[in-house]
Amino acid sequence: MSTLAYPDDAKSVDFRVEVAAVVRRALPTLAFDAQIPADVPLTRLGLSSLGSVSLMMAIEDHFKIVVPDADLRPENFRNLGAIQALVARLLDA
Amino acid sequence: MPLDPAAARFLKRLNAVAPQGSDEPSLDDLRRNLGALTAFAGPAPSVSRVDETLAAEAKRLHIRMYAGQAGQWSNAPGLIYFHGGGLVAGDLDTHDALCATLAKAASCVVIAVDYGLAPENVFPGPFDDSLDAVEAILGAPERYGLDPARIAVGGDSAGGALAVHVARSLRGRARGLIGLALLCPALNVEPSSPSRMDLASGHLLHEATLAAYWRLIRVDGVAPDDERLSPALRADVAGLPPTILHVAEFDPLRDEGEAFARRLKSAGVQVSLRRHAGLIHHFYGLGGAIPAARGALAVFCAELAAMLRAGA
Repeated sequence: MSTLAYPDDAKSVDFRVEVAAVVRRALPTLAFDAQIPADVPLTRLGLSSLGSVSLMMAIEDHFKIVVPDADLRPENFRNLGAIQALVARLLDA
Repeated sequence: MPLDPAAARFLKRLNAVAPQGSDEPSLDDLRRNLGALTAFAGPAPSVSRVDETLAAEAKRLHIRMYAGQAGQWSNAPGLIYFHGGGLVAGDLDTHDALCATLAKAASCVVIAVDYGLAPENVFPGPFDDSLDAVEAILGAPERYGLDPARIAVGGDSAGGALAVHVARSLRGRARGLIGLALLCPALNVEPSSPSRMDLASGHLLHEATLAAYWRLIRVDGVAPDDERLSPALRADVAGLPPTILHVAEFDPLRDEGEAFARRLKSAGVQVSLRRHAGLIHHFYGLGGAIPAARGALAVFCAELAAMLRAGA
């Protein structure tokens, strides 16, 4: 079992793996062993717009954060890298 | 009452990610979006499910049967159910968690009908399928594990219009229906009510979506005040069985549901109308995102159970 540094060390590699795991659960059509590239739009990997909402709420629930209204923008959830950056910023805040 | 906080959170995220303009969504969008909503249903209770094909008239219709109690496939109270989706979207899977919940919480058998969708199944095809399915089940209730004296019909959203049509068509029938159970029913095509205008956008079910449904259903010679599509307007409702009708405060369909309940009451039909404060359309399918929606659905299920008991 991997040791997760969250939330004391949000910048750890494990934290990014955790975000990827939550994103993966939102992409049921993705092959189980496929990598999620950080810069590919999730819509291209099968995420619907309603799936994005589900993903937003899953990220909030998993990391016990609330995405502020100003950050509720599609670009913050466009790809894995954007979500990792957003979560890192909110955990640091 | 203001929007339920969890409903507000859900809508805020939905509107941020998928802002709805005034353009009507495509048929593909409508079907994909309803399918994606299942992610918010929350866990379905564990019940027995059986998929079957119903021979009704000259067609074969798929049904899914749910037994709310283990081994409840004999002489059980039953609800024949029609899913929502504007008559153009939805299927047995989009409403699977809801039907399982209805079966479990109301301790009954639920039979969900996979009626053919418009526009491929040309209007009034969905209405004909629904009536044919119910007639087939009423013709051999024991085959479906049902007590013939305790069978009700129900539906949500546009499925509510199908249930109303079936109930109206079978009035006065010996071994008929003992109840009608409606969740946020769509009972008027015309966007004339205050709730349709005040909640036209931003509350999950947009007026542009309702307009798209009508565009896809419409065929020559069918007017918006057709009694099957808009029974809240002037359809004869006398003689309908006792009815449970639940609406949501922030649902654009709220007023047409309440108008229909008033018409039932003035026609002498026993009706239980409930408005769920703070909730939105499709709350019964959003229990995973809106905890209060689970409580509201539990109230509906309790009333359904009582209705089915009363028929015994």
